[in-house]
Order: sequence, then C-alpha cells, then structure tokens
Amino acid sequence: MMSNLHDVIRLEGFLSRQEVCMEAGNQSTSDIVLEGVRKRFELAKGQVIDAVEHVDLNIAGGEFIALIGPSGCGKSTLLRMVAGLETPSHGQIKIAGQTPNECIKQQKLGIAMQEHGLMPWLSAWDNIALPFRLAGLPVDIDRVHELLALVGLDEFANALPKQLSGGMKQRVSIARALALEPQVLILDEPFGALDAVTRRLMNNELQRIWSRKPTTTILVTHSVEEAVFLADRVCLMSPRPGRLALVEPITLERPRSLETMQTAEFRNLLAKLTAALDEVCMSAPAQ
Amino acid sequence: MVRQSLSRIWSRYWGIFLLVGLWQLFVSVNNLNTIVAPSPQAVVLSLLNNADYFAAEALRTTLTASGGLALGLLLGFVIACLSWTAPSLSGVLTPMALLIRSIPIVAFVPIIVRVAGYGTHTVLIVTTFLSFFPCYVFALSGFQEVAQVRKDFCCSLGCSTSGFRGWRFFRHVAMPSAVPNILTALRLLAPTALLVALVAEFLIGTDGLGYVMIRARSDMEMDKSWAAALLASALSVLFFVIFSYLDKKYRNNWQA
Ligand SMILES: Nc1ncnc2c1ncn2[C@@H]1O[C@H](COP(=O)(O)OP(=O)(O)OP(=O)(O)O)[C@@H](O)[C@H]1O
Ligand SMILES: [Mg+2]
Repeated sequence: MMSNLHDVIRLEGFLSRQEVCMEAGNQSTSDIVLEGVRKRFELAKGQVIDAVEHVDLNIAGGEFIALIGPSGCGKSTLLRMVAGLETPSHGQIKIAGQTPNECIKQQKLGIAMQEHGLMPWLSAWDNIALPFRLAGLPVDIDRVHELLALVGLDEFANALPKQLSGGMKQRVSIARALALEPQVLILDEPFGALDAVTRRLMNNELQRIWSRKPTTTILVTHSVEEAVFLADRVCLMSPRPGRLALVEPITLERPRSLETMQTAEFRNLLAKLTAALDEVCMSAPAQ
Repeated sequence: MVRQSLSRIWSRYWGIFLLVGLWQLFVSVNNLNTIVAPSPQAVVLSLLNNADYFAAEALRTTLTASGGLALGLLLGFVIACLSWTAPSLSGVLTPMALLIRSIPIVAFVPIIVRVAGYGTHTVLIVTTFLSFFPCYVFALSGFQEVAQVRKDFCCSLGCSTSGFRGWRFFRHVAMPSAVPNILTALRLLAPTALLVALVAEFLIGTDGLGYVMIRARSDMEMDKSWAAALLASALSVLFFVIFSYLDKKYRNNWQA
C-alpha cells in the first residue's frame, strides 16, 4: 500500500528517487532485533554469572516496550547491551540493521537512567544542550527551548540541578535524552525514585511526549501499572536464567488517561501481569 | 553594637590574647633582654615603626608564594591533561609525585640552588615545584573520577570517553568535574606554598619576610625578626581563610 503510494508520487515527479529511498528506509530505521542475546559476567577467577541468558525479541519501529522483572534479573544489562554500553557474550543486537555501536556513533540513541546523571555545574538549559556539544554539533537553541517547554520546565532554564526537585531532574534527563532526536529511546527506571502520585503524572507526561513523535522506546520499570499504562507490549523477564518469560501485547486505546486505569481491561491486564511476576519471583531459585 | 562585636572577638580569640599576655608576663618577670626574647610591645612597635618596609617585604613574599602556587597549578593542570590523554605518562609521574612530596624541603633546596643560583627566582622555582605535584595529582584524580552514569551518557552519544578522541568529553565533562578537587588542592596548598616560600627565602633568598627574619637575627635585631615571623603567620592564616572561602563558595555548585 505504502510502496504503491510512493510509486504514484514518484511517477508524478513529486519526490526525487533518492527521497523515496530514504522514505522507504525510514520505515525500518528504528526497529530492533535481538537474537539469542546472552551476557556472562566474570565476577572473580572462575566465578561467572549469567546476567542475561538467551533473549530473542523483535521490536517494531515506533513501538513502546516495557520491561519488567524482579531485581537482578538482568534488565539493566539487557538495556545496556542495546545501548552499546556492554557487548553481548553471544548472539547479536541489530538496530535498523546496524550494531548498537554504529548506531550511537550516529547519535540515533537517547538514554535516561535511574540515576539522572545530570552535570551538577550546568543549568537545566546547558544540560539539555550538552548532547549537541558532546557530539560536536552546533547547539540548536530553539530545540533546547522546545524541549524545556516539552517537559514543562521553561521557567527553570537557569536552575542548577540541585535547585530542582527529583521529578524535575528526571524530566531534564529525559529532555536531554531527546535532544538529538534519537530514533531509539532507552529508559532505565527513570521514575524509580519518585512517589506514586508524581510518578503517575510523569507517566502521563512521558506518554504525551512519546505520542508527539513515536520513537522506539524500551522502558525498564518496577511498576506493572506504569508498564501497562505506557507500553504497546510488556515483556516479563525471569531471573536465573535471565530470559523473557512472557510477552504481553497491550491493546488499550491511546491516548490513555486516568480513566483508562479504571477500566476492567486495564485491571485484568494488571492482575494477569502481577500474578505472572509473582510466579516468576517465587519459582526463582533462592540466591 | 561595638560592645557586641568586641565581646564576639573576645569569645572567639581569647586564646590569642591569653598567649600574648603570657608572653609579656614571661618577658617582664624574667626581665629578659630583647636579644633573648623581645616583648610583644617591642615587636608591635618594630612593626609599626617599619611599616613600609614590612609591607613591601610581606608583599614580596605573598607574590612569590602565590606566583609559585599559580605556576605550579598551571603546570600541574596541563600535565594532568596530558596524563589523562596518555595514561602511560601518569604511570611515571604519579609515583614521582609521591616521592617528591616526601623529600623534606630543606634537603631539596640546596639541589635547586646548585642549578639556579641564589635569589628570588630560585624561591619561585622551589615554590612552583613543590606546588606542582599535589596540583597534578588532585587534578588528574578529578578528571578520572567522572561517575559511571555520566560516562555512560556520553558513550551513548558516540562520544569517546578516553584518549585523544575523547577531547570533547574531557572539555565538557571531565575538566569541570575536577573543579572541586582543584579547589581542595588550592586550599590545602596555599599555606604550604607560603611556608615553602618563607623557608626558601630564609635559606637562599635575598629579600622577602623569610630573608628579613634571618637577616634581622644576624644583626641582633630580635624584635624585627619576631615581627617578620608574626607577619608571616598572619599571612599564612589569611591565605588559608581566602582559599577556604573560595572552596566553600564554589564547591556548592558541584553538588548534584
Ligand atoms: N558489570 C557487572 N559485573 C558483574 N556482574 C554484573 C555487572 N552488571 C550486572 N551484573 C550482574 O548481573 C545481574 C543482573 O544485573 P542487572 O543490573 O541487569 O539487574 P536488573 O534486572 O537491572 O536489576 P534491578 O531491577 O535491581 O535494577 C546481577 O546479578 C548483577 O550482579
Ligand atoms: Mg537495573
């Protein structure tokens, strides 16, 4: 269907051939393929730990994936491998056909971690401008302002991180991750340290940000509610071995709101996933 | 208002007043000659009578000490930058820094004199040299102590975090990270630099408070010698206070 349309347009001479190719390429630029991914850490001599043991997953471009699982099951490790911060011991990860390392060289990735990692000596504005500087690009002033507005912090442009609340810092951190318009967004428990109410607000905001420009997103979270609220698919990881125990598609209509959380469908999904999570935790061998 | 501040000064510094009182008492009771131990009165009088002279010499010492400190800092900083880019360099320099720190200055000065001769420039060289290594060590460890989350963030942008190719990371993240460390180095080193300058002046100088101390002593002008010593102590405290203030003021902005 799409390609037909393109053909028509090309015949009409609206798009140059090159642009058509780019368009066609774009459809698959942000999909992620994980194939038999494993990660083994060596703790001491001869003592090894398999943090991730065989994960297969296909993530479509623009999809929102939430990753849940008990503590220590390898979620962060999996995420770090996708972000090119760790190399898999086995298997491979491809982002739009490229390795994660090739991807980060082209600034296609944005990450925000549980520890926000903002630079304490830089204002909110400068923190968001930092990705441009680190990548050696001219700072796009409009873009930085736009991002500050997007996360609702335009009044705090000159505030240092220590002058911001925990939630505000996380928002700056997410804005910073979005600065270079990444095609893949990686979030590792960005709201882990927030109280339940703020967290819900932040979830709403994250949904709003994401729906403005659907970006392939992987979010690690400990909150099943958060996962169901935000994701297109929720992946449940089991510990030892670190595998995907369950992948649950969430078909709730978007945009989702507080009312969505009251629906029976939402609650059923929540109950089902919570039960699955409990089961995974119980059946895990004692540490 | 005045009484309040007077009583505050008293409650804070009564120890110093007590010491001065005891000193005066000791000299009067034992009826000591000025050559053995001048009274506080004599010392203060000497300071006031030669105010211009002492001010000029104190200024000279201050300049040498802060000049040496500044040069040492600059040199330490530049070489720490190089060490960061080429870690093999730090493998050589760091042990050397520790070694040099443990050589007493009195043993160290004659060697420098052999090379550079007597005079203010040698005092400056000694002060620079002894400030250099601590500055180097503090700056380098500051560069290297960037938190893992921050490094990860830079990596995720395809920005190298080490070596020559990591200069952007260095410029925007590692270097600013080292500011608190450098402030600490300055705070700790400022009084030391003054001390080193004084000792060097004492041993090999041709002017400055350290030189005044030894010169006046050999002329049997003990009040003058003691006045120089008193002034030197005051300067040292001042140095410490100034750099502690700077440290406190700017460190704040580096806390997340
Ligand atoms: N750099 C490392 N070296 C050695 N072992 C590691 C390393 N990083 C993680 N591990 C181990 O891998 C396992 C999975 O860790 P990971 O951080 O991925 O867990 P997680 O699912 O993110 O847990 P949490 O929810 O608590 O953040 C843990 O047992 C941990 O000890
Ligand atoms: Mg984790």
